[in-house]
Amino acid sequence: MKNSVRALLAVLLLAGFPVLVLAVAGLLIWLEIYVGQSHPAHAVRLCFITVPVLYVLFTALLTFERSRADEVPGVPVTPAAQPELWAVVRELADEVGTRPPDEIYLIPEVNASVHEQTHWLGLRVRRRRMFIGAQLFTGLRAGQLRAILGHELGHYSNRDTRFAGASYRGQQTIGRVVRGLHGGTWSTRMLRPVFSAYAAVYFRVSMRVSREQELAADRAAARVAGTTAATTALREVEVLSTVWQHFLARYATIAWSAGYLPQQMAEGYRLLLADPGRAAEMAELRANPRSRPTAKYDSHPAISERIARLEADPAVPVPSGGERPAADLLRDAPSLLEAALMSGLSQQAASKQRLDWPSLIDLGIRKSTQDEAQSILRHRSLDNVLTSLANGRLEDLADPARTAPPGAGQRAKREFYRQSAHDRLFIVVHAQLAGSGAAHWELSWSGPAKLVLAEPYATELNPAVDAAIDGDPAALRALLAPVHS
Amino acid sequence: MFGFIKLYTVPRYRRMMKAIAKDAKLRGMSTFDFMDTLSTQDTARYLQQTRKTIDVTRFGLPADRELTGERLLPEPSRIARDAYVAGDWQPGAELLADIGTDWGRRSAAVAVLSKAAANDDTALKAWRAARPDDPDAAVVHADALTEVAWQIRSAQRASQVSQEQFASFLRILEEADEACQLAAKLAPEDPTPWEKRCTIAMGRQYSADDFREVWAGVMARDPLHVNGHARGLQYWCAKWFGSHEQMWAFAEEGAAKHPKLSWLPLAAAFEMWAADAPDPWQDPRVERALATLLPWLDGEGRDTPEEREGRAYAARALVELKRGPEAVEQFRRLGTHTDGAVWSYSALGSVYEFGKIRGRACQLVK
Repeated sequence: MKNSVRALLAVLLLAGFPVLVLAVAGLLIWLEIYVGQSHPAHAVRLCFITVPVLYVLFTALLTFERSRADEVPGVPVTPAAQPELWAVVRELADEVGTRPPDEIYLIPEVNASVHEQTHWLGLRVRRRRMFIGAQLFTGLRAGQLRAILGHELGHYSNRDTRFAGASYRGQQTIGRVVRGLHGGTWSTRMLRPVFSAYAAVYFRVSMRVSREQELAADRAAARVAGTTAATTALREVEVLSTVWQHFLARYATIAWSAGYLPQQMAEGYRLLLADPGRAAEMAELRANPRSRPTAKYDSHPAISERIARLEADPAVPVPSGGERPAADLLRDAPSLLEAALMSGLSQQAASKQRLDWPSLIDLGIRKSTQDEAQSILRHRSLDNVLTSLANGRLEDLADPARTAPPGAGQRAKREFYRQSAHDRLFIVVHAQLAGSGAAHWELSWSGPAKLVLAEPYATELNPAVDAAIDGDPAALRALLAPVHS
Repeated sequence: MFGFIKLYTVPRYRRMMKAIAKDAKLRGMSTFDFMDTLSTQDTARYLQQTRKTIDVTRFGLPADRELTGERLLPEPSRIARDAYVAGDWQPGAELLADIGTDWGRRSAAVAVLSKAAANDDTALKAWRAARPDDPDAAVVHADALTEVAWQIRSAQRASQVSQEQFASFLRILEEADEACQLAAKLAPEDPTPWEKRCTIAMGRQYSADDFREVWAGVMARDPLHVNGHARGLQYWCAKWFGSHEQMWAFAEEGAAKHPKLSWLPLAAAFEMWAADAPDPWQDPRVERALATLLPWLDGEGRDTPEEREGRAYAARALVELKRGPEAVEQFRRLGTHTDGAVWSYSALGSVYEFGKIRGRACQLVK
């Protein structure tokens, strides 16, 4: 069993990780004592280096220890509150051949995982926790969710490889420590190469094992949920994750800096997923899953390879009931999913007001347009800017970060500044119109929000702005006179 | 980074840095703060000071300080341009009408007017408003747009040009292309709009087939069009869309047509030199081209609009071939004006480059 040997080696390396930390620390302390005996003055100087490094080393060790007892993200789900979900998970664990988790949490990620709180360097297990992304309930069918959960539980089934669970655990722990060292002070940055190198060795050793494990877990998923459910779930998670990123950036947090959040986060995500205008794009993603691994040390083989392997195996039929929406497994799904999704936002989220979607989008874009207008105007009034334009000074309005090339003559400069000045004049004008209620933005799940202008602006604004850029702002002045602040 | 090391290792640059540091100290500034205030021309002057100078006046040449980057314009063009700058388009219009179908002079005169119109199009607007269907105004308008576009792009390498620059460059070139096609319709027999389109074709990255179509437009109207051939050579350069082989083939083919195109192989050698090819001037085709070009310059070619460009290439090539007296003679004819593509590639400006090569010519004679 070559893979078992690899897995054992991986476990030994995992145990060696704290040993490495202690060895480096010991070396530093020994150096300090050695120098202290002969040249006390040098030893004091050396302290300026060793003390911070030792501090970081012990923090790293504590991080490593704490990774087994950190605070748990997400919303806990008890068997009493969600008996159907628990029943499914227990049944899956039984079919896969491992024990069910002790706790289940819903988390705000497009992902599911099973983690263990461990003792003795990850070799002894205390509590097993399952984390399920709330987004999965919004976007998957029950059968697909079964496949995802079956895969995660499959990692802990020792049917394929001995020590499988242990080396999987180790990977998660070391990854977390190395990620934890990113950022931070200069001394942390100094140490990072050492631990990154160790992690690289560890991942290289365990990579083959973990790839095999992922494929084995996929087979387990297909066994318990059916081949089609397993393959479509893999494709669908890609879609859910892409759409979620877009949703967070363009919808959910659009009015964050103005102090607002949506009232119905989960519902918004569902509407975006269901939008017919996006269907073609999502179908494209579904049909062409990524063929490259996501990151350097990602243990997962590429999605396309995983799908191909599953389809090569004899097909397992999907058990009945798999076509229901996954949210049917939950009681009171809307409020539970809402709470889980909200738990992903930072502390400040609590202080935000909640708004309905149309108002949120309008307000968010209005705020960002007005902020941008303010940074364009820089204490000038719109009137000042229009006077500059009347004098042919496009550069007063154009983006100051883009300067015309030094060899450019008057005309070339004008042409160069034209586009930028044009765009920026529109922003300023839209901000002013929005402030007086003559412009607003309309929510669309199919694309960017649409700007809606009241008459006469809808018909007369474009030519007036063009004329202003060409040096004649009279029409624009007249048009804006009623809304002038 | 390597440029920085060079400043302190190459003796010539080290002497320049010493001179700059001295002046910086006089002004109570740090060397690098002072350097930031210097223009390319200023830096060129410092570099010039460090050059082992030779008294060129001994050879009957104007002194270095008399050199100018201004184009030497024939009198009628100069008058037309000055009038245009003052806001009067009529002398320009008359000039183009007088020139008529002398395509070489027409191309040069259009270039002069469009350079002025690229800086200020007030007079051009008046011209076009007064004569909406005037092919002369149309071609000046098209060429001025091309010039504006190129000013925005700058002559820097593509990697040094910002995205915004490229966006404006392409937008205006598209406009220029349409204007050229309109000008070509207004004067179906005129090769000038077609020649100007050759430049646009490079900026807009025309495919070889599309470019050949434009080129055929020039050839159908004037098979010996000199500026057209200069543009064509650029298109077939390795740095644009061709290769060294294609460029040489184009140059040889052109040179065989007429002595007034015999500078083409010299231009090809110069492009090879600019592309860091080894010994481009030692190519036998260079010497052969000179054998045709030099007699033509002193005979039929005198006082043609093509003369100065040919002399500039000849001067450069003669210096590289160590034919000192002949080179000095060419520089004597060129005088104080450093126009000519062969001087324009140096980052330190045409005056510096002209002075440097001219100095080498005199060294050869000494």
